[in-house]
Amino acid sequence: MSAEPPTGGGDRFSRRAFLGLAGAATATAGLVTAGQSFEILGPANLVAPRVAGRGPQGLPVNKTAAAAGVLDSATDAAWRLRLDGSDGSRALSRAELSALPQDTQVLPIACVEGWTTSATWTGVPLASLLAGVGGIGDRHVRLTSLEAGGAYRVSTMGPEFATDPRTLVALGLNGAPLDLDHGYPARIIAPARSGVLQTKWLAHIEVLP
Amino acid sequence: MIRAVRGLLALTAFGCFAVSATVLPALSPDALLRLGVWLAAAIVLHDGVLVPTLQLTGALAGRLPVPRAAVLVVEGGLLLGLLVSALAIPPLVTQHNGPANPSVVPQDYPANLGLFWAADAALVLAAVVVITWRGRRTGARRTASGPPS
Repeated sequence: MSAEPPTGGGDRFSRRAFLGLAGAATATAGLVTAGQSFEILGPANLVAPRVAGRGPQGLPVNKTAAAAGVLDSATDAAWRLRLDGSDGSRALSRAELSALPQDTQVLPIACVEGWTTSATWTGVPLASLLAGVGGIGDRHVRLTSLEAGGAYRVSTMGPEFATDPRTLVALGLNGAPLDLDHGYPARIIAPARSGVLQTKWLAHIEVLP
Repeated sequence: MIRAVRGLLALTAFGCFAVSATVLPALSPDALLRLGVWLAAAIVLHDGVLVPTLQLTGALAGRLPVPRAAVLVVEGGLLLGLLVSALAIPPLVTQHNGPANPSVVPQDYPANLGLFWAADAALVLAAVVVITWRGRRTGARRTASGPPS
């Protein structure tokens, strides 16, 4: 087989022109879609499936409360967040959670679909919440949603996430109580976790043995 | 050099194959089928739509009394338009099927596509006019100073 260099598309197209066009095409494809994650490119977002800032409380939604089947359970006045640890159990209402010392963090929802939006979250740091039931130490934490089913109803978080001071049991988003579609009455928000693992409509948090 | 590049490409392809062999069994048969359709559609779109359209346009534009660079600009503009149109297909299909919630595919995609094609066409037209005008001016200057001996 002869090692003849490619001609780059015949005599009509030079290789330089071909590469230039390929580069321009790639740059254009990026420009007209990247605005869904980078607000500075928002005006150029022509064909992306999401728009940064579009959604309840300025944040897009993947799974709504209705789709998750939690409309009743999430708004039930009898809702309690159950905490289980090595030192016992607790059950806290939303009012009791709100009465605890709150922290505010700016953290992104990074969806595996391809969009990322940062938001300001307010809530109770997970580590201080679990300190009341024996702490986390180097153990894993299991988070369970009110959802009846679905692949991400339960997620497990390693101690590197659970003990991070920025990891919150969030009660508020962008200065207002969490929208039902963003996980009311309480959801988890942790840095560097993909969106599907930021469990919404929390029901139960366990420190695993 | 060429042999080394070919070897590297073959290794990369084998690496991708090895990774997919570990990941793909986790997908449901339905998801595998959709993945196959998606990959096949990309090839059909490229080989069946993009390339023939560009070839045909290049051949037609090549007959016009414009410089080769202008033909290239027309093809480039067409390529960008077709590419952005292809990117708009999934959101348009989702909109047609009914999105899961209002924050999914919230844009007016047909209007945005129209806007892109209009800007694309205007830029291509301006570039063709400039290239043709400069080509004629250079040609006229060459004629005035006489052919090179």
